Amino acid sequence: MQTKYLLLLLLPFTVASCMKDTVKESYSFFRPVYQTKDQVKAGIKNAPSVEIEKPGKIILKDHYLFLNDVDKGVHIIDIADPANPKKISFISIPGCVDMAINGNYLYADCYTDLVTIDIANPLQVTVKQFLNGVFPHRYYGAFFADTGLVIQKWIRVDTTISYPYSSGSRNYFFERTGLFTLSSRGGFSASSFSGTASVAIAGSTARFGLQQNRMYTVSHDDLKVFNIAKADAPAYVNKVDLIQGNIETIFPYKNNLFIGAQGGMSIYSASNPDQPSLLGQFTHVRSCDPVVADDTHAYVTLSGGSFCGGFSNQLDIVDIKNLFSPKLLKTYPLKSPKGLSKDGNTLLICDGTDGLKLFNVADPSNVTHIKTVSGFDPHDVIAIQGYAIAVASDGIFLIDYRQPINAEIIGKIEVKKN
Amino acid sequence: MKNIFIAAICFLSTHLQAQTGKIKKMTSYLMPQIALIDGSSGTSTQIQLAGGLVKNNWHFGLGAGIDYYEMRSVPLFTDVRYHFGKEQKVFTYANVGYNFSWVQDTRDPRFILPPSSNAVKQTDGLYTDIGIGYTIKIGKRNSLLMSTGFSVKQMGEEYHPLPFSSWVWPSSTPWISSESTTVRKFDYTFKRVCFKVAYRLW
Repeated sequence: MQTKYLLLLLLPFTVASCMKDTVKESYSFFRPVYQTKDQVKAGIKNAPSVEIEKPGKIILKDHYLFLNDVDKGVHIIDIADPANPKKISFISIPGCVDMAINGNYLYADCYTDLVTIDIANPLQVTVKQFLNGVFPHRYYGAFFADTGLVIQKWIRVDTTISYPYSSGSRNYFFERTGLFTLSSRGGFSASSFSGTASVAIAGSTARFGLQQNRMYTVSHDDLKVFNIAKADAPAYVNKVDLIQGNIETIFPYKNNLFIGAQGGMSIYSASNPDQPSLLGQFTHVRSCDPVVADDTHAYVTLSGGSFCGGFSNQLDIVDIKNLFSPKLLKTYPLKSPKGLSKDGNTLLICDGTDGLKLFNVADPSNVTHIKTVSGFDPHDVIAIQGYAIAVASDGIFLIDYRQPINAEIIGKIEVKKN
Repeated sequence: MKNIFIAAICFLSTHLQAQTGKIKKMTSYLMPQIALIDGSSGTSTQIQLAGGLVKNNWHFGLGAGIDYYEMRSVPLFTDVRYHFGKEQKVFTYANVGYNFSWVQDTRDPRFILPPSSNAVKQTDGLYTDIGIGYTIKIGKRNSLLMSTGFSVKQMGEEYHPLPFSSWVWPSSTPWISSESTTVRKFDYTFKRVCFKVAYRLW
């Protein structure tokens, strides 16, 4: 009798295989919406100011701030009164992530193309020229841009699906051993903005740089040279393969080009403007490293722990008196430094969630911290004559640092909340 | 759900404790048990400890254990049993509770972009087990209980992609844009047959 009961208890195991483990998976995917290039070109024009969605690169020209909205275009912001900045116009440029300003002309990438726009009247801009296919490195994941179509936007699609579970198809790894293995399966109001830039000034994360009637652009591993002697009609000149890959930024200074890459900083001479040549190189651990320079030193921020790779978060000051052999002078630890800007003896560094830090670099071997303007997470900054414009994902911040020790946010332009 | 369950357990525990002194006929039970679990994903094991109070043919208690089936978890459950007849050899039981994830490794090996780890969060879920069994008396107070049952374990995972927001190489392409990253959720339902052997200490 007892044995019979015990055998009955094992019966359910015969139907165990009939039961199926299941998974309900919820996820979102993105569906591209395409446009022809002609449609894209026709769309480049002035539009009323719109909300800023994803702030990117910045350029200051006169009292206008040109702010890239990633892949959408360029906002024109009047910061004559920094406590009350005003968006005055938006130039729709699909696929735009980098730009430069030469006099009255804005050069911007439009996916794989370079577009030249007359911005003499920011409220009435006109397209002057298109250079097709000069930026073939621009890509969209698995989609390549040289098909004649470009992706105008992405539509998010939320999905839930159910399917039988199996160990092999599981996305994530975790241990699955048992006791034993049986089977394995601001307050300040400025009346006027003194910090205007008659010559356009770009942020340190710029990938377009102007020098000697040339525009230099960097892709992931090369430098492109454009002749802009005829400002309204740039001409593609040359491509220079760079000594390092993973190029991030370019900072033209005097006759040299300081190129920031994930593996270090390279200095190229533009004595021959159409064929820049390598002078020297400073290598460091892998990280993101915008760079600015003056006559004697280069200031490089290393930011690790993100897509950049590496884990270093610091300011490296590099002695560049000998351009052929740049030498590390000193390193200062930081939290998560990104873009930076130097104005006289004041160095401003976007340092992650700490905010914007101001340093006195009169003596580069003894840099002293002056002040941290906190409350935001900036990624790039332009500093000029006591005013700074810092870009963060949640806004554009205007900071008065005419007295560095009393530096404070005096104005802000909101960014659309997601 | 988790909070309701914990509150229920606390209430039951307090209630039973309060009752202990009042009802003289009530005795207690405590039994460790080991289980063999079989489902479409394979065979695994489970260890548990259940205990509580006995009144007439009813057992009311709480239990906890470690469930190694696919995703290691710690089930915390109520244990209700009814032993049939005078001899109380044949019994039926029901466990209802909550599975707390106890997964060791949360790295996602598919992604090699630095840093290589992406946040994976395991989520807890329902735990149920119902079945029937047979008791073999051993000595005066002890007994061996063998049972078979049907158990459902629900757990989940949330995959939080590492923000790939590049302030150097900005893009609105979804897989690069941090604003576009989405949480990917997996809700697993594991249906198993389990065979348990328990030793009733008292």
